[in-house]
Amino acid sequence: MGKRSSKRAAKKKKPTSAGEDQPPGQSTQEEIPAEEAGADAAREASLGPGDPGAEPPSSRRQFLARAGNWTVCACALGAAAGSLRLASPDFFEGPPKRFPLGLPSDFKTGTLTWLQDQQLFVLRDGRGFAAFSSRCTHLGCTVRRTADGFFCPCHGARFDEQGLVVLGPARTPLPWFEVWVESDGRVWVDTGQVVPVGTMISPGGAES
Amino acid sequence: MKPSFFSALLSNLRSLPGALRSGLRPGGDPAPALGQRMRRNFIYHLHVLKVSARTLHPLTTLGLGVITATLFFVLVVTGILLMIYYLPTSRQAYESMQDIQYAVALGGFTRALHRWAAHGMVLVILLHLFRVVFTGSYRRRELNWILGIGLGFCTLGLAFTGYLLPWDQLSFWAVSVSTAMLDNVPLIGGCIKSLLLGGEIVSSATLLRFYTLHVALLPAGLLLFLALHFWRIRKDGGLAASATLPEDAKMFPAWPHLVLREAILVLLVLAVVCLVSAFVKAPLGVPLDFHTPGNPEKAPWYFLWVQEAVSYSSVVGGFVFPGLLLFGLLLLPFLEREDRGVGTWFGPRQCRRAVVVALAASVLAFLVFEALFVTAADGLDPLARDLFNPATGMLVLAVAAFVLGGWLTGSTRGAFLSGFVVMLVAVVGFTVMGLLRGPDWVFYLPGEAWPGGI
Amino acid sequence: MGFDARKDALRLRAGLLLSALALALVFLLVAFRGCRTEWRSHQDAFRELGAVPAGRELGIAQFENCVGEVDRCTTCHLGVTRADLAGEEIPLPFRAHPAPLAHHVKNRVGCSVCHGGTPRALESRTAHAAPGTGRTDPLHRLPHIQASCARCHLPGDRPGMERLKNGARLYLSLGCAICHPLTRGGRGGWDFGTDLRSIGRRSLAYLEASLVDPAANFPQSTMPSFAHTFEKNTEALVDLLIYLESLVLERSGGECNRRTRSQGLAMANCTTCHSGEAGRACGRFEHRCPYILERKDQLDCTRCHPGSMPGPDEHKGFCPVIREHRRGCSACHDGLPEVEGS
Repeated sequence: MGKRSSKRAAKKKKPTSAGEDQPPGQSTQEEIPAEEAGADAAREASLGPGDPGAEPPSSRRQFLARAGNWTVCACALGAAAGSLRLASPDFFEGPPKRFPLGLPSDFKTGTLTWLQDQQLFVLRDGRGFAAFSSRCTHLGCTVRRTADGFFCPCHGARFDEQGLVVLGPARTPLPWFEVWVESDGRVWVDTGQVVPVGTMISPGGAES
Repeated sequence: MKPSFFSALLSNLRSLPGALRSGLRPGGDPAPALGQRMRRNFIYHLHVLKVSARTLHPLTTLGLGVITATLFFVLVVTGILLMIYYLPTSRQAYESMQDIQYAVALGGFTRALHRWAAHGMVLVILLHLFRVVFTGSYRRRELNWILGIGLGFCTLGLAFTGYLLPWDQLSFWAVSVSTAMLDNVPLIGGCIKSLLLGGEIVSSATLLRFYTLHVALLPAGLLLFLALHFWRIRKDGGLAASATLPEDAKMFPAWPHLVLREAILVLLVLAVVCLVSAFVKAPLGVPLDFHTPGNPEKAPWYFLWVQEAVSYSSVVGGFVFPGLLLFGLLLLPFLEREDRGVGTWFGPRQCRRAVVVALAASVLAFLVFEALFVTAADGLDPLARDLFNPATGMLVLAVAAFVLGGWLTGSTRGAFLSGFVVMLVAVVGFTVMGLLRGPDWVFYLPGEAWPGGI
Repeated sequence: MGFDARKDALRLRAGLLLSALALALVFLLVAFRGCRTEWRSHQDAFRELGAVPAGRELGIAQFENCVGEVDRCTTCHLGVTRADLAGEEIPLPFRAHPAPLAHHVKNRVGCSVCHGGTPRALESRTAHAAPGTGRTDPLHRLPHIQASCARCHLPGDRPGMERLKNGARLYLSLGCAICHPLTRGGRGGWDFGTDLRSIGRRSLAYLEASLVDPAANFPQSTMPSFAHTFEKNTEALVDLLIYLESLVLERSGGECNRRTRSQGLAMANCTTCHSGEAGRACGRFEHRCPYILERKDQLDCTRCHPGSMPGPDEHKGFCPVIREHRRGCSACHDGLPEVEGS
């Protein structure tokens, strides 16, 4: 049983090579070579007569085998990295952040208008205009108007009339956005720019 | 209970690193050879243990099967990646295609990879088919031959359904033209067409159907056939070879000689297809214009021969010619059962001679038929056109070559080889003619400019 | 045959290493090319102008313009709206747009509505529809850019559209409309000419050749050459070309009917800006008409305003359909009963 003894010898000789030739967790490409990578050491010791691996492997061959396997693994990793790069977005769809709300006359003094599509409340009082978000700052549900402020039906957060937190899991007030009167006479909002709570813009354009 | 629970947990925690190593990797300490054996088993499920020197020679199979499998693997991976961005609706398909092409990082490369791997796969499976036919390797492999035809159908189906997905001018009209060719198939043609299109014409419903076929049904079918195909290769004892070949006496282990050869081929194919895709962009046509087809509007290249033949005669070109070709291919391993010369290119010597004669005669005949038809076609009435056209001519010639080849060589192999060569020349010839067509379906030489170009 | 198994195994391992290295090299090349995109190098050049505050990320800029196209032009044309970059010394891709049409920028008209091209593309050749890219939506240059005005405005609606207006007049007076009547579906009778309803997609060179030497594009053409007509008056030729370039009706959603036909005009209409499918309204019109705000998808302005968009002044306060014409709901909305105006 010379075959078996040589097998054992080969096994004893290179325990590390079997370990290092292990393919990495999920290789996206080159599945077949990766399989071979690990199988390499075993195969050397396990085949019958005529198998070159039955003899002690030369160090040159071992080096070539290991370098080849590692390069294949590196390629697989590279392909995985490229796939992740492809999947990570570089551009974003979605409505614009700056848009017109309408003419000043569209909003009557002393009213609060909810613009459903834009998820905005537009406040108009004696001092002027303001716009703030109708999205709860807790987890993004749409808040509902109540007699004394706003209520989020999802997890019970409450805000006062200005959007400041009264109760519940929300920690920050509903954000107020920058509002201005453009030269075309319309009121515009920029939902990318948050202003302090209570900032009002008069229809003439002056801030108060 | 408490102390034993804590001590057990503690000792388990202490031995965690070692347990992880051995538990997640069966090749680790406790059962050293298990993992290795698993991987070896994987490979020896694919390959026979010992192969001949002839199997190892690159020219025996040209590695066409491995190349096809590699390209299919590339197509699956890139296809999944493209699915992240592609939207299969008539309004968004082209826009999402533009996003992939221009704005997504590596998107243009991935799309090119998918496109070129797809064209490559169609080309390579055709070459694979030719190799099997010309070396007679279908002998005693009837089931695998049928599976191979199924794989070919799935591949062509995938290529064809994928052609529509960009939803640009080219893809829309090419698919319109290709599906219209189904009208020539009697009885079931109309049914298949409306099933494919989801209506009378190519529409939003068609896009969704093609998408479903392209990403789910056909890949699943192809994978199934592929697994069976590989299994049958192993079961049938590797490559087909006649027992008389002397070099088959000495055998070599599949590992490493065969497996590493295949691995190298896989890596080289990957490198080549990536290199091509890095430099050659996949074309994205102009936005779809429902009202005006481009001129000319051609089917994809692998269907161009049908389109060209249909332009001669819709019945012969669209039904009789491809139908007979398919029929002959399906029955080939059942009607041709000679063992002599299996595994050698073009069989025994007299068969080889017959192939050469058939090739020369069919090329000559093809040119004569085309020249006659181009000069005389205008004077023909429809019935005469069906009878006297290059497709019918080549069909008759193929039948003649089949009978004559069989008679002269005295073997069924010679008959089928001669007939197949004539059909092959016809298909290649029609494809070349189709490629040369320009506006108004008129011939133009390769370098010649088309009039009225935009 | 001499087959040395040992040597073969060694050779195979070397081959595997070499082919894996080749693949790795190709991957590196792909990564390198993937990082060096055209738009990134433009953004780097813009940064070198000193026009970007330190630490600000640029990246792909995109917005949806008023006809629902995604416009990415400002990814490279970074200074279009920057008044401080108007000078001649600023290189062209970054220079600010000339002032007169600044309100178009504000109203999300974007670039491609007037300039054409492929606004989603981030490669300049494709984006600018350069010859050879197969694009048929060429970039308009002065004075041909007047053709784009017709997507939203009637000729004569605004100053600066004089040449387009003159071109439309020539289309009638030269008799083009006799053979090319620009009607939808109504082919027959006199209209044996080519359908010109989307002729604006063709290149300028093609259009000019079609007028001067029709057989150049179409050997079987029976159309007479108009070279003699324009021999002395090349300006008139340009005017007519501008009009032809404006004819991209399936894009503008425009339609021809008896009235526009009689005027020789096939103009853009409501759906150009209030585009049916997406229901997006352009600029100033959106907040005025409640129907546009609420029932965008069912709107069909052309029933009352054949082929033309009423000017914004007609939108005063309320929809003119109700206010002035005293028409019922079903004038615009399908499926509602006709109500007699009071």
